[in-house]
This record gives sequence, structure tokens and C-alpha cells, in this order.
Amino acid sequence: MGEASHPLMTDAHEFEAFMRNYQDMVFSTALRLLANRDEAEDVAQDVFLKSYARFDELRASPTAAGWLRTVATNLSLNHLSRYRSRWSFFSELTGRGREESGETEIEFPAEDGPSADPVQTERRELVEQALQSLPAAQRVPLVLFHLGGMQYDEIAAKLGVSLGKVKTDIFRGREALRRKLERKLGPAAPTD
Amino acid sequence: MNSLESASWEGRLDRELKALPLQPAPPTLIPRVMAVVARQTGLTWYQRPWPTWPVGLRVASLAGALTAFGGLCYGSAQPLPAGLQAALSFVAGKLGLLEALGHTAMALLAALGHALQSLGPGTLALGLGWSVLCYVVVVGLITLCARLALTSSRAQGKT
Repeated sequence: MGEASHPLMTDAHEFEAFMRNYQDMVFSTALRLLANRDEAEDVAQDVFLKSYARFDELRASPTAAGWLRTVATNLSLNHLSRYRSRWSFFSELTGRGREESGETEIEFPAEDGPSADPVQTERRELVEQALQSLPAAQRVPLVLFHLGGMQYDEIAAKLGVSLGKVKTDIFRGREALRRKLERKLGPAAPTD
Repeated sequence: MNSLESASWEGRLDRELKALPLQPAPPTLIPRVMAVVARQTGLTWYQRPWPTWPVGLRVASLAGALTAFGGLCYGSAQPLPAGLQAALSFVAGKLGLLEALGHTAMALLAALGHALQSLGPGTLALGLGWSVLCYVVVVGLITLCARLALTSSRAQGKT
């Protein structure tokens, strides 16, 4: 890697286009783990700054999306363990009340596009909101399993907890999601 | 819920979650990143993180660090020169003054120990209980303040 091709010398427009391609994926990955838009944006910023340092490798790499997703996941988990633990005592108290009342802080912008089915869109927003309203202990392993494609043992190793706890948390998370969705969509939801 | 229902729900939920669309990133994300990038680009090489230094400088700095480390390892295994030994002896003599301070501190600690012994276990238990009570009250007050602050900030966010 020569000095002339160093990332700092690259065209800013090219990096901006790179970010436009992947920003939603990176942001969604962080948001689903953190359930907080501001924190997800901070993590997404860190992910892209890391990617900028390796932009020469990533710009034409077919595995760039996977790399970005992995870094977003790792930084989100670091963020959760680093910043949330010191506030867990307080957030557990407030989070419990929020869960009982069924309210959520997350507000998702409406999906645009004329072809979007409004019923389907609303349904997906409800699923997304129900997911975000789960406590972190259930949401994080659930997201890693269903959306991150990780196995139970991989999640246990990643989170530094026992395999049994991962299975229990994922089971409880699924049941909590089912209760939330049945409350909002009726007992038949979600359908196939 | 039996295991068949559980497996069925797991499959349906998996499909529901995988069908979720990506959430649009906030429009402020790209300007924020580009601003940091612009700031980094304006920095000279030694102000930037090491991985972003030019290759030649990275190689040279790594070689320099390895040489310095090797020199320290080699030097620590060699007998000290006479001049350095004399300098170290001088410093050790000056540090002897610290010994008197250490004795004073030990005497103070011993006096504190005698004082605590003369108070008796009942008084000590009372003092300990009082300290724990104060700690619990402080934690309780902080919790209350945090809850009030978080509740009010959430209420403000909704309005």
C-alpha cells in the first residue's frame, strides 16, 4: 500500500457513496441491538470511521457488507457492556415500568414508496417496536440469533454468558414478543 | 405452550424478523462522519492514529520501537557503570528520608488501632451500621433523582 493510495488521500465522494450504500444496514444492525437511535448513530459513525481507515481494502471488497455488519455488532455489544452497565441499576427500574405499560421510546419513520402495502408496513413497524421494547438481556441474544445468524454457543461466547442463559433468554424473548404482538395484532398474529 | 407450538412460533418469528426492512439511517450520519474525516485529513501524520501513518513511517517507527525495546532488554542484563552506581546510591540516600515518614505513618495507624480497640465492639457495630444506613440513603436518593430525571426527559421528548 503506497502513500499515494492511502485512505486519507482518497476521494471523499467515493467514500460518501460507500456510506450511502451501507448506512441503513449499519444503522439497523446497531439500532436493533441498542434500541436507541442516538446511540445507534454514534456506533454507526464509529463503524464508518473504522471503515475509512481500511477503505482501500473495503471499497472493492465483496465482503464489505459482512465486515461492516460484524464491526457494527461488536461495537454495539461493546457499547452495551461499557456504558449500560453503570446505568443498569437505574435503567432496569425505568425499563420495567416501560415494559409494563407497553410504551416504547422508539419512533420509526414511515416507509416511503408507493408500492409499500400500508397493512404490511404497519405490521412490520409493530414487530420492530415490539422487538425494541424487549429488555436488552432478551433482545440482544434474540437479534444475534435471528438476524445475526449466530448459533447459541457462538452467542454465549460473544456475550460471555452460559449456553443455558442464552437459550433461556431467547426463549423468554420469543414469548414476550408473542405476547406483545398478540396484544397489538390479535391472537392469530403473526401469521405465515 | 407445547414444544410443537414453540417450534412453530420460532419459525414464524424468524421469518417475521428476517422480513423486517432496514431502518433508514438519520440524515445527520453522513455529514457527521465526513466532518470527522475532514478533520482527520487536516491533521499531520504524527497527530493521526498509527495505522493511518504512511507506510515508510510505520516501518521506521516499528523498527525504532523494536530497537529501543531490544536495547533496554540488553542493557538491563549488563552490570551498571560506576558513575551510574554512584548516582543511584545518592538517590537511595535521599530516599532514606522517606523512611522517617513511614515510621510516623505506622505510629499514627497504631494509635488509631488502639483507639478503635478502646471503643469496644458495640460502638464499632453502631458506627458500621450508621455508615451502611448513610450509604443506603445516598444510593436511594440518587436512584430517586435519576428516575425523576429520566421520567421528565422522556415526558419532554414526547411533547
